[in-house]
Amino acid sequence: MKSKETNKRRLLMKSKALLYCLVVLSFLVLLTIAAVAEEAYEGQTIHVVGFRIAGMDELMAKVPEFEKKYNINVEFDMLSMEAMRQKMRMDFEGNTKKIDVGLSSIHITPTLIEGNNILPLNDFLESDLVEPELLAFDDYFPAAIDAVTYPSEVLSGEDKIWGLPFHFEVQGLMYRKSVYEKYNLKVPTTWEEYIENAKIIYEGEAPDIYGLVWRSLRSPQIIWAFNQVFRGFGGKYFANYPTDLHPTLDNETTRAALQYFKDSFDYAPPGSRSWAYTEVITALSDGAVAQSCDDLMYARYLEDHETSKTVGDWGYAPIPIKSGLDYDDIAFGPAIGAAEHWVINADISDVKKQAAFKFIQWATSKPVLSELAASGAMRGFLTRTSMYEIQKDEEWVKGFLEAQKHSSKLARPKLPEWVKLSEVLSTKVSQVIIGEKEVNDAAKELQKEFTTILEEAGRI
Amino acid sequence: MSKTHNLKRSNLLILPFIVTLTILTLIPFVMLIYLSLTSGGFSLKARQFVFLSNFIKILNSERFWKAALTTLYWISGAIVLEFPLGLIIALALKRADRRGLKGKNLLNTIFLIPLAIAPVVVGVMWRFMFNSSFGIINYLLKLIGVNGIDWLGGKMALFSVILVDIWEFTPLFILILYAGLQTIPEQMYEAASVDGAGYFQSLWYLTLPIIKPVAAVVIVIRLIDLMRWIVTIFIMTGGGPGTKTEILNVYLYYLAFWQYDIDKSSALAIVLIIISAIYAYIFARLSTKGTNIISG
Amino acid sequence: MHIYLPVYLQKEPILYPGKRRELINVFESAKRKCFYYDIITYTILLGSAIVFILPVLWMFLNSLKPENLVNTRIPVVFFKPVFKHYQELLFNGRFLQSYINSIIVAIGHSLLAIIISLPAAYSFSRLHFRGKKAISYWVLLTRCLPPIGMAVPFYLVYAKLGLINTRVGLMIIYLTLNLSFGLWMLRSFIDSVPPELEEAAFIDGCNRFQVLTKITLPLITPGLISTGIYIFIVAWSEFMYAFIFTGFESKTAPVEIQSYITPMGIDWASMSAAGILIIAPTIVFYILVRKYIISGLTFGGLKE
Repeated sequence: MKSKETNKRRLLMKSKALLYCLVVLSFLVLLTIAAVAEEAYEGQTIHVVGFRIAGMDELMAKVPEFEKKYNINVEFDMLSMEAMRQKMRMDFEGNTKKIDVGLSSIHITPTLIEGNNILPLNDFLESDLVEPELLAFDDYFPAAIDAVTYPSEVLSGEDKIWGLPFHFEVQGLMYRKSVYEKYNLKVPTTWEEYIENAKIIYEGEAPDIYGLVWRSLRSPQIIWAFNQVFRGFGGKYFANYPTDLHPTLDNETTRAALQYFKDSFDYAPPGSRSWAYTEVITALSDGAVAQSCDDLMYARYLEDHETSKTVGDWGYAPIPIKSGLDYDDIAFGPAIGAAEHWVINADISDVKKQAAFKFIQWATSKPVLSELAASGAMRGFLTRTSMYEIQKDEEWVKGFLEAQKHSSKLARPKLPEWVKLSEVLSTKVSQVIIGEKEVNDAAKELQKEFTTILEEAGRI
Repeated sequence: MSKTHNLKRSNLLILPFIVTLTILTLIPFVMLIYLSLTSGGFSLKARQFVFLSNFIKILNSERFWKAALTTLYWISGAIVLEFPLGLIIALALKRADRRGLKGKNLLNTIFLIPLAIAPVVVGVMWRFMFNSSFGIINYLLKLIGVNGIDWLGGKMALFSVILVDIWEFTPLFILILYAGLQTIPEQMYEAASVDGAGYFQSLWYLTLPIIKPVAAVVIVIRLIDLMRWIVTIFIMTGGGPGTKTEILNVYLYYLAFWQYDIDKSSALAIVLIIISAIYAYIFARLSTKGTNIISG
Repeated sequence: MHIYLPVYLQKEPILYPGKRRELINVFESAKRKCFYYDIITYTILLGSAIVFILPVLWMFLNSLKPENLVNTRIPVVFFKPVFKHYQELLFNGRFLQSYINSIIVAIGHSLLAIIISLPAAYSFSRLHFRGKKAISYWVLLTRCLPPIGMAVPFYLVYAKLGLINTRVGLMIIYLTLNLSFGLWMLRSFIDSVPPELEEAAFIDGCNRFQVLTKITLPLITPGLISTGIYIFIVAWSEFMYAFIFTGFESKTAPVEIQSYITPMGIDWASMSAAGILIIAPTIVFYILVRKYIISGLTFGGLKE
């Protein structure tokens, strides 16, 4: 009798356990179904991703105007720059069609072109989707359009326009006028003069004011800084871009550039070998550093009364080059900045593409950019001539135009492998400045690794 | 109870766990292995088998071995300091319990805070605090006469990064070890003191052996998690000046997301998995007869 | 101060003249030792608490500053507080939305993880079955998977499963991180409950389910709650998977605050305000459950 009871109990226990399992598993299944059903994108909705750069917050605030005017729903997602780029890449490569419009920059776009991820805009630019007062194609700075023009086969083929420019900035020299006056310094036109000025300022004013500062956080950010020096010394990455892509990095020029860059940190604030934008801009606006060579968009913060203590004390000039060289000798000219532009996912439906084009046309349109420029949000950027007209009395504009005269060529090779190459370059340069690697070794290894990468990619 | 009976019920209890875990991880894991054994640039479809050539490429690179050494310093530095600190504080908390000392609730909450902040925020916070020119740490040091330590931009970078990890994760040890200490009933301590044991004796012979299983588990978890950590390091130094704080996981990030090198990054990911699985297994085996994690 | 006296001192002592003096001496020296130990205990606790809380207090201070006072060479401690960062965040639909998403994901995920891993932990601890070793190895291996290396495979597989850009999907994906943690932690806590107790309960006629709920569960409550807290924290503050798998609607708080890291500088004031807001739910959750962490139960029925 007892065994029958225990048998019954055992059966009960087993069935309870079984029931528990069934419940949990079906719960999971229901969750998954709920997950799939949660998506509900209806009608004309486009997904835009951007990151917080000048004018972006203000643009986002204006999006309701766009939505009302065109009856297109915009989901504007703001991420950090790194995060946004990775998401764009994963979405495009994985073909999950979640991002319709993204913000790309000149060193990312070649990769997207090669992967057939983004749409060339030439057809749209001649279609009837264009609204001339908005697009005002001739109003764009030619160099800005040049920044978004790439050959259709990356290095060969017909030139096409792959995005509409939102930002266009130029790298230049920024200096504190009062400090220059104090030490009777003149605006340097050569790198030697630059470091000489830095030395004088350092010896006279440290630790209150330092001679110079670079963005040198170990990440491809450091390329922006090093590139200026490298090119300014006459260095070339490739033998003859775009036809001959053999790297030319194991030579005296590279070594001299690396050595200069490393030595320049003697006059930089301590700890600045790990500084990124935040620290650099803070140092400059606080008045802790008197010179820097970087994007002139720093003016956005340096001339902002709310955050800067040194408003009005800044002068802007083209970046120096090595003495004895001419701007025409220099491959890729004084740099333009990242030149962010809006791109359209090539894999989405045609209807969405049209909606996306309407969006980017509006976002980079003459009225919108002029409004942003007038509010001071785009200080440091000149994407359109009309923006110049609005801001032309500001100090930095003169320096911008001076610098821009020589930057008709791009700062970066329009190469998909550039992202890989820049990662390798940034690591080596960072190792050099901290003394982890010798200049000679670095130059040799750079040559070797560049060659390997280009060979693997079939470019040489 | 018969053995077959146990078999069936325990299978059922464990079924949801196994099914869920396997569905979620098996296919991607297999995909990762496939990616690491093949080559094809960034495309996922047109790949050819190259077997171990990706692994050989990774193991041949100087950067890999440098990162491996950095990872060794990173993991051992963090664990060696986090565990004893966490243990001491947990013991102090337990003693405060027993002695009825005040302020325990507030202290417990405070101890949870570093863990509760998102690592992104922790990274940015310490980056600003460590700043050599504007950071508050250097400012306070200057007040007591120590001048300009270069926390993140020089040779101390790895040390600073480890320091932040200790700050952030010692509370995990405190949390878990304190919970483990709670399971020891008061009567045992009383019985021990009847037998004449002082504080340290009861600590050594009574407390520590009982929480050894729990401590072993949380150490293994930390060991594995340290290998996979990236957030604070990336925000504070981006991998170091040079490659000073580039642990294997950071190198993996650059390989995967900047060099777009799926072949090598998958191979490196597999290497990482193998390394952490091996040392976690070894540690689990060596401690508490390994019965908790690797069961027998 | 409550002093636990050894048993032999709790009863009424038999007093002969010398004994009384002896007892008083023992008592005094014990009291002194206890007092010194108390000082040490307090020092350790207060010292470490200060180290842990000070940076957060600094961050809190920074969140009340107007932007231009945040990064100055001489840190500003006295200033007129400004609440606009908190205002901007709380009235900003995006941050609020991501905050709510985070709460939903964290709570849902913690429950899910505990529900799945608790029975598994129990059977690992108490029961024998085939394949226990193999399953343990597999669980160990899954914990070793690096999110970065797995990002692309995960993304592709989960995209096909439709789990991208949903909160529920994120809850499920976090299981890859927390199932192993739940299993190991809960198992070791269950291990520390002597099986003799359960045997005693069986003998008294309980079935296994009753044993689980009435005996084991109350005894491992501190461990269960602590594990739950950490799982909650992981789901709440995890960034890597969150950013890969969420989109506009389902974005969680850590992803949102990471967008304050801009190429033009880090918006530290807003970020620290967001950071402070992010700590809040964990602390609230902890305060709600903390009384369960203190084990007030003693083993009445066990005679050693």
